[in-house]
Amino acid sequence: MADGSSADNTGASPSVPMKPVQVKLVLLGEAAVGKSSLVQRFVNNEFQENKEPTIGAAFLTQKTYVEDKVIKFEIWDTAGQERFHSLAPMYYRNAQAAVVVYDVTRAPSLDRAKSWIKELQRQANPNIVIALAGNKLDLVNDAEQGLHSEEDGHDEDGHEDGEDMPVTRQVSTEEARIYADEAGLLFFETSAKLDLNVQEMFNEIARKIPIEQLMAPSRTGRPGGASAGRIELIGNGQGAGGRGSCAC
Amino acid sequence: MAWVPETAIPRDELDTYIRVDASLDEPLNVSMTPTLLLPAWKDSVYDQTADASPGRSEDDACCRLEAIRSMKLYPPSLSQWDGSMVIVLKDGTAWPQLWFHDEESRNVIASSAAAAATTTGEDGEVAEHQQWGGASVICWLRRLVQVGNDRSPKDPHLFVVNPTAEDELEFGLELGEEETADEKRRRDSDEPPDGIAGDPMVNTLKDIKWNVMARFSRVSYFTRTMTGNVCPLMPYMPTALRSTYQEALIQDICDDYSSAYVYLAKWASDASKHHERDQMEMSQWRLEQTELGAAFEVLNPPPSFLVHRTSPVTVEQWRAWMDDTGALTVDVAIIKKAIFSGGIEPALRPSVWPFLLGVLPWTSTEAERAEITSNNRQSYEKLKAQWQTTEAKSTDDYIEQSHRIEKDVLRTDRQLPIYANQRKSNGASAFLEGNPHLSTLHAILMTYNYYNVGHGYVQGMSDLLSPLYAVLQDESMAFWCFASFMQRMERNFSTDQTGMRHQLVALAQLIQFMKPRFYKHLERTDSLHLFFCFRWLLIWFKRELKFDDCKRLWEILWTDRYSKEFPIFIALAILDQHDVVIMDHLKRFDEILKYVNDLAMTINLEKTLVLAEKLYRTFEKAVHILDEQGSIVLSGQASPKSTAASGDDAPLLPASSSSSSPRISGEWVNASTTTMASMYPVTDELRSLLGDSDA
Repeated sequence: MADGSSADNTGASPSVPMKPVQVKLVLLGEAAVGKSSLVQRFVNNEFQENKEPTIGAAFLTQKTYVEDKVIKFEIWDTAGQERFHSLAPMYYRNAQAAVVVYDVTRAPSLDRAKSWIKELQRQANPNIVIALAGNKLDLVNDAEQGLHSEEDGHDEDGHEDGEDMPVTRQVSTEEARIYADEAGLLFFETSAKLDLNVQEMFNEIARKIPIEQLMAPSRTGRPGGASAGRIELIGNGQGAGGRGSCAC
Repeated sequence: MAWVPETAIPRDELDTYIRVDASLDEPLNVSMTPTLLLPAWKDSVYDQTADASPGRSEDDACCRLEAIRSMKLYPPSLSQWDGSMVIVLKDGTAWPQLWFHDEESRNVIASSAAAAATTTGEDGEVAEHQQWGGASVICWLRRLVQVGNDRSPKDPHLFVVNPTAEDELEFGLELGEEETADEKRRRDSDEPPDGIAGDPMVNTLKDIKWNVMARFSRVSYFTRTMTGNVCPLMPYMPTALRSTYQEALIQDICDDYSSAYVYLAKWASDASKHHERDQMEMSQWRLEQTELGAAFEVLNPPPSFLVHRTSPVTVEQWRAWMDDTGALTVDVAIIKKAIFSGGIEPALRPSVWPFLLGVLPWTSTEAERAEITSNNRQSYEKLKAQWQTTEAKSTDDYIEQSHRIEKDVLRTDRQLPIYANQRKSNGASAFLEGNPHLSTLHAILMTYNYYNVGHGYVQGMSDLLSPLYAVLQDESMAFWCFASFMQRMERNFSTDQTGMRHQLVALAQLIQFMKPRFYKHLERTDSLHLFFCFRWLLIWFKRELKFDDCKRLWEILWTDRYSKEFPIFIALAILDQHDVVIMDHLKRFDEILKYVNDLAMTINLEKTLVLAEKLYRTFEKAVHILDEQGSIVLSGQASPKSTAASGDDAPLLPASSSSSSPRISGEWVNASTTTMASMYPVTDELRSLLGDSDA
């Protein structure tokens, strides 16, 4: 049934000539830098104040378009605290992209980001596209950013004067950019709260993904293995959970 | 044989679950364990009687078929529009009257009545009332047990239930299958190839189950209506129809493949779980027997443990358990058992939780407790003072941990009134938004960070503290209770994650032991690491359950009634409610993870608790029998001629074990005594799941 309907679907929409290219993306970074919030902004265009700490990992998907291609991000949002570090490899294994997040108001969070990046460059897929994201830009009222943070302070945030007070930026844009260039990373300063640079960042990642390499494995449908067959049309690539089928 | 009506009805659905556990027993006889689940009834009268009649509460009402003495059926009449039914148990108690709102789902009744008429035509005296639900209940019940064929001369509405020999079940066997019911079988094409679909016995069982369900779905208690049900026929529709029903939605999301599958899975779970799940469960009993399935091969037929959930322990009960000095006069085991079965009334929690968490001794008097509490308070203040010096506050560790804890406290259960934002914008730059409760959480976690130097604060701990503090609302008491709780949970937070790994490995082995087909699916999807259960076990389902349910679960788990590892069985019980959907729809780890994460706030705790207890006891029994077999085989090998009792012939075994487990048939013991224990080794991990109280 599902096979049929999805076939109909692709057939019925000639504007999308191929099915989405799946890109596994993992979010890493110190606790409470806003990983989940960035994903929520990108996937649901939402921002939730005081979003609970991620335990274990969450999995979300979102599509974006690069020219005529559809990129579907399969996003692994992980728990940030160092204590759960030993779980991280299973999430970044086979990832084609990573967003490593730090908090522009917390210098130590950049150090943590750097060590994540080292680990990724050492142990992850060698072609992995890494973006460095300096989040919580809304907290620093940098004049040059020209942010509309005031008009965004909804009534519900009115009482949070403490939070809206200017917080000292601890990581300068230059410092982070220099590091990102040296390490060969995409770099963005973002605000999940104000929706700054979030979509742009994911779009840029999508553009940097070597799509052609990904296309090959993802086009080979597995010939209906299990009888249930509902999932088969996507059951390829890294679907088997990391046999390296997508490690190009 | 058990008959278990139950209130496992999620919120606004007035759907009915039904489960038929069936298996083949000795070659010629068939034992059936139909489990009928009734819609919830909530009624003050009922609640009041709950205590007086063991085995029933507002959340759970069940009885063995044998325990039913009679049923009174009052057909619809002019004076009473709805037909009703009263079930009287052998112990003299009666269930509250159940009403059949037949007219509220005409379509169902029409088809069911037609179906029923074709197969139960021989029940002449019932046929005249075929058009109302109660009559069919009797019809279907008759296939399972002997229902007094003649109504009592004294009371024309009385049906005596008299379960006797298995030949009644033979009668059930002779009844033909029904196409109508079969058409509804959603997974016909997916039926396992071992001939289950063609097995007349199984088909008959399915039909019985189906029709009884159809009947009971319309049973409700007075005020219940079906208005909440958008599409009451949904569960009864054939797959194709149901799919069409959702077509637009499916089309909308189909381009987003894996989301669509997770969505489909969820939807399948919601819309058709009653039907599909029951059916699968039935076939699974068979499959698990034909595959590996240690627990069910060992326990053949699978036992039907009766699990009684009761009402929560009340303040009055608790007081009655104490003497004048405030010392408990009742055995701790009894108290724990009561808490395990029903939890604790919210108002009583602050008094009892410190006992459950070992902060106050069960044997203490009121005066002693006051002293302990006071001493604890002093110790706490000392501990707290440690990190409040200026020098302590200047260390990197302090800055880092204080920041981390602040961040996490700010995002823990903020939707609860106690932790919500304080509207007073007085202290503009107030620490933790000026909410003193948040400051207290922060202080407790900071103190713990210094108290348990080895672990310090780790994410997840704020989730563990929040319910404790919300209930106790006393800083020192909450700290000590938290510290004690953490002793249990500490292993979850070790740096190398060995504690979590150990539990997940044990859970995986348990799944293999209890649900091999599901295990194989997880194996195929590279999901045996069970990381989708990580959050469950790390913080004891805190994120999965509504806050009140979480408190209930924790107090139940703290009793250690069966085993300290009971959370593993809670996990198994939740998976057990979703295994079919997962196997049918989810073929990748990420999909399973998303599906499982999204189960949060949809879990029916009472149902899960009942299931978990049953699973535990099944597991325990299986291990027990395997051990028995193993030791006898061993002793047989060691001294083959030692005694006649443990002699060399397997057929002797049933005699030796029959006292505890009369269900063991001589047959398999004969066939596989030696292989069973070696085929299903009880690993150390599995054994570690057992409690000490293995009687």
